[in-house]
Amino acid sequence: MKVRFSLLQPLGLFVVILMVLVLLPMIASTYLVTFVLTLFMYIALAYSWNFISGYTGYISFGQIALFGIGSYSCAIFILKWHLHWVLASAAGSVISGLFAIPLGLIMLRLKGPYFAVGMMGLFQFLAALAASWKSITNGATGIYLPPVSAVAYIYFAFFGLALVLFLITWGLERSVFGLRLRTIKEDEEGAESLGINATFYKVFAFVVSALSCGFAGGVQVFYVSYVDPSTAFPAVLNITMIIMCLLGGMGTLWGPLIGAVLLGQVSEFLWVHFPYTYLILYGCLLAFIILFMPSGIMGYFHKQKILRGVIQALQ
Amino acid sequence: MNPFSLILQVLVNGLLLAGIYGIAAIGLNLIFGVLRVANIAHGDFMMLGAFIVYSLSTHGVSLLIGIPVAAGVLFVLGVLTERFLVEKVISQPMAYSLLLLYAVSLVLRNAGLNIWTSNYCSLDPIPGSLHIGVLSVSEIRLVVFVIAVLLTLVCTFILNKTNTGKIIRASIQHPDLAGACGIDVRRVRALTFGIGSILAGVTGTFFIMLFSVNPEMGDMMILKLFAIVIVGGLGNYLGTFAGALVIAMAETFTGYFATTQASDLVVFSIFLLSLILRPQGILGEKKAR
Repeated sequence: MKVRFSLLQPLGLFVVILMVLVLLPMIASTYLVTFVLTLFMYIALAYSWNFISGYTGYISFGQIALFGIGSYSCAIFILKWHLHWVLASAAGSVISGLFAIPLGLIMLRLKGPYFAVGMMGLFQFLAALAASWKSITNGATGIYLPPVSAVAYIYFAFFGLALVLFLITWGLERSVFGLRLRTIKEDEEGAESLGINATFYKVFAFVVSALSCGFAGGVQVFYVSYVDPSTAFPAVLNITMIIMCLLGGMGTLWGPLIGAVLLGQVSEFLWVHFPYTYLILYGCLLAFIILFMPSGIMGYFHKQKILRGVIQALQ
Repeated sequence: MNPFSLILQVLVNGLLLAGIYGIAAIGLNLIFGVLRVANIAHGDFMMLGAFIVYSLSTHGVSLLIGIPVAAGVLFVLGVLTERFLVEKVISQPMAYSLLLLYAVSLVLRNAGLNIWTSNYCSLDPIPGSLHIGVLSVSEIRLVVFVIAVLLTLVCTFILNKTNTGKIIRASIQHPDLAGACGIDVRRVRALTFGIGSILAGVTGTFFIMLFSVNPEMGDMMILKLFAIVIVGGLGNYLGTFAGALVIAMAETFTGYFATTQASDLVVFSIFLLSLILRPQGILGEKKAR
């Protein structure tokens, strides 16, 4: 590897990209801004799934349940308490995080498939509850909020969330905390015998994930100015965030970003045009990833010598 | 109807439902026992069994042929799923098999939605009911219950008394040693997955005979089945039946005296409670987690 990436001075490149993204709402068309905005939401959700499932190996099939809790809390805070939407999203995020603590303590205390199935059940249960608990959620009719005038604020909210999650993951990659999460993934009993309180770390990762999902849910509600059971608990998004993270490579810094960028807009297109068949495609893609490239695109890069330099430069 | 006979009636209905849940849950538990894999697509296997019988009977095929056909298809599907998907990741952490089976579930459910749409379907109700004192029980539910109990007994008999059962149990207890004794553990795994899938499929056919269902039925079923297996204890077949009884009773009672949504809440609460109180199951021995 003689090639030096002088153009790719990592920090410089990073700053340039950041500047472009910050300036984007002022220079680009509304269409492009909403396009990138949605992408940021996908990136944020992929990272939040990555925290719990990518790093600890505990697969969550219902992380979107926490997105839904954030959505409804935010909508209710805006409507009944007239909170500013950023505060309302933050409050939704906190509620979602608080909710995750007892839930995580119950389901993550044990090994085995309990967590996966429990999250799947929670997701369905909450969606059903939202449809039937009319006094709070207004049932299937949903809650309407005042429409949004400026998309730029939403853009910055999602951009900020995605950036923060990226930076947290970046920190995880080089911290003892991240190392401990990985140890739990590799060998939980071994980790415990080394004195690592596995439950604490798992629940912590779960709560961080819940906080970010909840915040994303809150911002999303404000953005579409409407919430009903199917927008708060979107089953398709639940699957998409998992596959995005896996495609990029779970438990890696760049994986969720790559996966979300690759799949994010494709999924939107397919969803509109092939409502049922494309989920079959997703199933096949998921099986393909697990069987042939379980560590995703990042894992594939790591095996190829050519790109190893790029990855090292970026990390 | 006086309150006492109402409660008695609900109890009987709960018992009949428990019989049906029991078979599918035993299938799930058997697969978990042998493969250490949580079949998250179990509910969708049920759906497939149900809708195969539905399609056949709309073409005038009798149930007596339809159910064995569904069982056969599910067996083949189960064996193929194990051979070509689960077997490849059997030595990997559980996350891999969970995600793979999730993929299977996605494909099956959405294929089901494409073929049969999301409308609720049911077979023509089979008339006839028995009256015992104040109770009235539809005959077909009784027949289904008896078949369910018989199937469970046959499964327990096969597991405990026959050579095949011995081989399966050996593979559960110590796969490596079983392999060293000349047991083809891979074959046992495929066979078990096939048998488990049959049990799911047959339960599905019972479901469409008694209730109306749509291709998304796997969604709500899988949590109930796991709640049953977890309440009963993973790998414990008698416990599974006890678990089915707990879940079915809870569901029927809240369904009668409150709402269906409330019964979902109760099932989920039982699931969480059993994780807190007795992760080893109600009949299980105290074991390390």
